[in-house]
Amino acid sequence: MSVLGTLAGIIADSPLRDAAVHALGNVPGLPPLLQSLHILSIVVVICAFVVPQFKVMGIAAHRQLYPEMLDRLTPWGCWALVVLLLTGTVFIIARPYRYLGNPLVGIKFGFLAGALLLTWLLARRARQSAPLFTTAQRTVALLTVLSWFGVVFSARWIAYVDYLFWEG
Amino acid sequence: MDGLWQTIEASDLAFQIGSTWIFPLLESVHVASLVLMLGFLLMVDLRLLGVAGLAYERPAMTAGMLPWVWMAFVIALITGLGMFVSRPSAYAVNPAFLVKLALLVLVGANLIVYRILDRFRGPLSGRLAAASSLLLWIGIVMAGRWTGHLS
Repeated sequence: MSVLGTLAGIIADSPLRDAAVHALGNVPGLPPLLQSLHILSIVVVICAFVVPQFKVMGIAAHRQLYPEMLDRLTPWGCWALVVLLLTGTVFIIARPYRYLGNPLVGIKFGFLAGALLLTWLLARRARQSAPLFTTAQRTVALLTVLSWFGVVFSARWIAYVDYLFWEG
Repeated sequence: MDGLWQTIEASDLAFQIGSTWIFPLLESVHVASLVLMLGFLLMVDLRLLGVAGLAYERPAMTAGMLPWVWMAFVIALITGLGMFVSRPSAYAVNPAFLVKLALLVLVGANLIVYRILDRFRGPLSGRLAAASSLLLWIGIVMAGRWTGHLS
């Protein structure tokens, strides 16, 4: 059994799962409320980690200073990631086999890891060279934007992959 | 209007959107453009509100930002229309969808009022407009999620 399959089994047997299933099924409006919080946190992440990439590419935020943008926005982005983690975890705990057995989840977390790594690397390097950015830095900024939107797209398709690519 | 919705629903376009991978693609692009739009708008609204980015004058903060807001909004609008076409009669009676539409109208009204008041009242109108904008868009995101749950 795969690591994710084993993890899904552990979660499925834990009392946490019963609590999550009970909460999502019995608290009125809880699923769409948590999903709304999840999406609003993505908005903050986009604001904090994607808009500065547009600045590096020279296509937005022309009159803002890149190092100041990083100092101002990074804490917001980090807190939003915490909220994303918490709101997403509730659904994974409630339906571990559905999520952890879904290939799109692996793709989503792959994009997420790439996006975080590229965001961090570029922030370190481009901060030093700002306000001038090299072609390599602009290219990394573009890849970072694509990675973040890879996260958004793969997350949406998690819900659809079950019935679009059914067996038989 | 019921006749119009049924005509649209019976069209080949509605069938293609509703029964293939086109609907999830439209929804993915809808969500992606919405979060991009709101990501840019959040930065502008927080400055207008006087919460963040105070090192910049308002024109410096909005420079090069608003075109992205509008472009992403147009994409979200087009993809939203595409999803609506797949099941118009269901959406037309979905209370969450109707709330979302009403909030979108209020966003437009808020923008118009801000443009008028800003000439006379300066920063105060900016704060009011930004607070209204943030609250309305939070409501729109929530109504959008509830639309899916009530469908």
